[in-house]
Amino acid sequence: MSNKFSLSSSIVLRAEPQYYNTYVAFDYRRVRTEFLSENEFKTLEYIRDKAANVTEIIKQTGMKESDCTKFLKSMIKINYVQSNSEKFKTKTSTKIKYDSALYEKFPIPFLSAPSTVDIFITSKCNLDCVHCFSRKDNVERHLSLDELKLIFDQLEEISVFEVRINGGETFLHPDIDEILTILKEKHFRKVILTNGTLLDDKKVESLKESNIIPTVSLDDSLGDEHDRFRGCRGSFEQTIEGLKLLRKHKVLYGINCCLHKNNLTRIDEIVKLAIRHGASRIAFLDLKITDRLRNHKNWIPTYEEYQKVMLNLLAAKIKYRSKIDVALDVFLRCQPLQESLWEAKRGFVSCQAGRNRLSIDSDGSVYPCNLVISDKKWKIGNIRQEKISDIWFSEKWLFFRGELTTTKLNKCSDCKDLKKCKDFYCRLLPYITNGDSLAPHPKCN
Amino acid sequence: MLKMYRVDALKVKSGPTESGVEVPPVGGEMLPIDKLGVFSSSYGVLILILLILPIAFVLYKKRGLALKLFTPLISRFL
Repeated sequence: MSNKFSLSSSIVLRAEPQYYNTYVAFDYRRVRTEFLSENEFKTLEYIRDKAANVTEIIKQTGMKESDCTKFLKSMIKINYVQSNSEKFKTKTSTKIKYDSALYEKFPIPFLSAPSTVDIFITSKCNLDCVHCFSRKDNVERHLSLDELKLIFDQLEEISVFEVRINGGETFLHPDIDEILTILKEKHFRKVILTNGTLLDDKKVESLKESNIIPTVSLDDSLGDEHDRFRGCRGSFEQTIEGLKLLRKHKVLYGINCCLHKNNLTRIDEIVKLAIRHGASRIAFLDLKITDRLRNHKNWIPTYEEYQKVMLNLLAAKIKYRSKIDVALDVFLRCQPLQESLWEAKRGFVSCQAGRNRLSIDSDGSVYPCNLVISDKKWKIGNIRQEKISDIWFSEKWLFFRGELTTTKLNKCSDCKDLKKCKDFYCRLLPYITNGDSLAPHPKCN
Repeated sequence: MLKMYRVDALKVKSGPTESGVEVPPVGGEMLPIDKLGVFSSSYGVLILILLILPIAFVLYKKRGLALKLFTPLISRFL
C-alpha cells in the first residue's frame, strides 16, 4: 500500500490515558466514537498532521505492517481515513499536556477536558415558560460575540466533541447570525435549542449550511394549551411556522416535549404532529422542580401519573418507530455513566458533571450541570477570568470527583437497594427539588 | 498494559436532542406492574411459565382423559 493516507476532516481525536486508558476518534458528522489502542491512536494522530504512506506510519508508530494495513482498511471502511489523499484537510489541534499531579488531587478519574458543553448564550427570551430554569433573576444578559469566539476556539483546542447552544431564546442573541457563521468552521458537533418562534428562511438556511442541528420545544398538539405552558399567546402558531420552515429546507431536527399535568393524555396527537412536520425525533421529558416551577405546582404530575403514562409512551414508540424516533431515555430516568457504576463499587458517587461535561451561563460563569445554572453555590469559575482548561482543573470540582461517598448520603447509605439503584448518582436533582444534595432521589419512596 | 474500556464519557448520543438512538429498553422498573421485572432478572421463572402454559392447555383440552388418569392417583392420597 504505497497510497498516502490522511484523517477525514470530521474526526476529533482524544487521548485519555488517565481515564481508564482510553484513546478515541470521534466523527462529529456521523456521531460515532471509535475506541482505539494506543498505537492505533498514534497512527491517526500522525496522519492527522500530514498525509503518509504505510512505511512512514510504521516507522513512526512501531506497528506491524499487517496490523497497520488492516487497521487503515477498517478506518477507510467507516470513512475515518481517506486514501490516495495528499491534501491535508483536518485542523491540527493543539496538544495540551497536563501535569499528572492535577489528576491526583481527585480520587476518581475524569477526562482531560469536557466532551460535551452547554453554553447559555443569552438569558433573553420572548416567552414566559412555566418551568423556565435559566431566568431566575429576570436580568437580560448575554455572552458577547468576542467572548463566544474565545469560548469556541478554546473548546476546539481542547477537542470537545459536542457543543449545545442554549438560552433564553437562542435566536434573540443580538449576534446570532454571526454566531451561526462562526460555528460553521468549528470542529465539533453543534446543537441549538430554540422555541422555533423566530426562525426565518435566512436563519434556517444558515443552520443548514453550518451543520447545526436544531431542537425545538413543542409541548402540545393543542395551541391554547401550548401557549398557556409557554406563557405567551400565539407562540404555538409561530413554533409551527418554524417547523414548516425547517421541513421546507430539509433540515434534520428534533423536538423536545415536556410532559406536564395537562398534556399527558395527548401523547399520540403530539407524536402525530411531530411526524406531520417532518421531525426526525421527539424526546419526552419530565419536569424538574426548579425555582419558577415551585410557584406553579399545579402543572406537575405526580410520580404515579408519570409512571402510568410510560406505557402510552412505549406504545407510541413502537407504533411510530418507522416514522419518528420517540426518545424516552431521559424520561424519569437517571443515566449514570458506566464509569460511575465502576466507581460506585469503590464507594464513590459521581455523574457526568465534572467528569465529561460542564455548562457555561450567559454571564460567563461555569457550572457543573444545567440543573444548577445561575445557582452561585455551584459556580466553579468564570470564562471572563480564566481559560476553560484551567477551570476544568479547579479544586471546586471535588464534590463531583470523589469527595462524595455513598456513606455520606442521607438515608441512601442504609438502603438495602443501594447496589441496584441507579438514581443516587445524580446529586443535583435532590438539591433543586428540596435543597439537599445528600437526600435520596425525589422519586424514591 | 491496562485493559481498554469503552467508557461512556466519550460517547455522544446521535439524536438531535439530548437523547440518542441507542435507547436502552424502557420498562422493567418503570412499568406500573412491577412484577414484570421478575422476568428480566430471572429467566428461570419465564422458562417455567412457558413450559407450564402448554401443559396446562393440553390437560384442559384433554380433560376427560386427564381426569381418568389422575383420579386414581389423587384418590390414593385422600
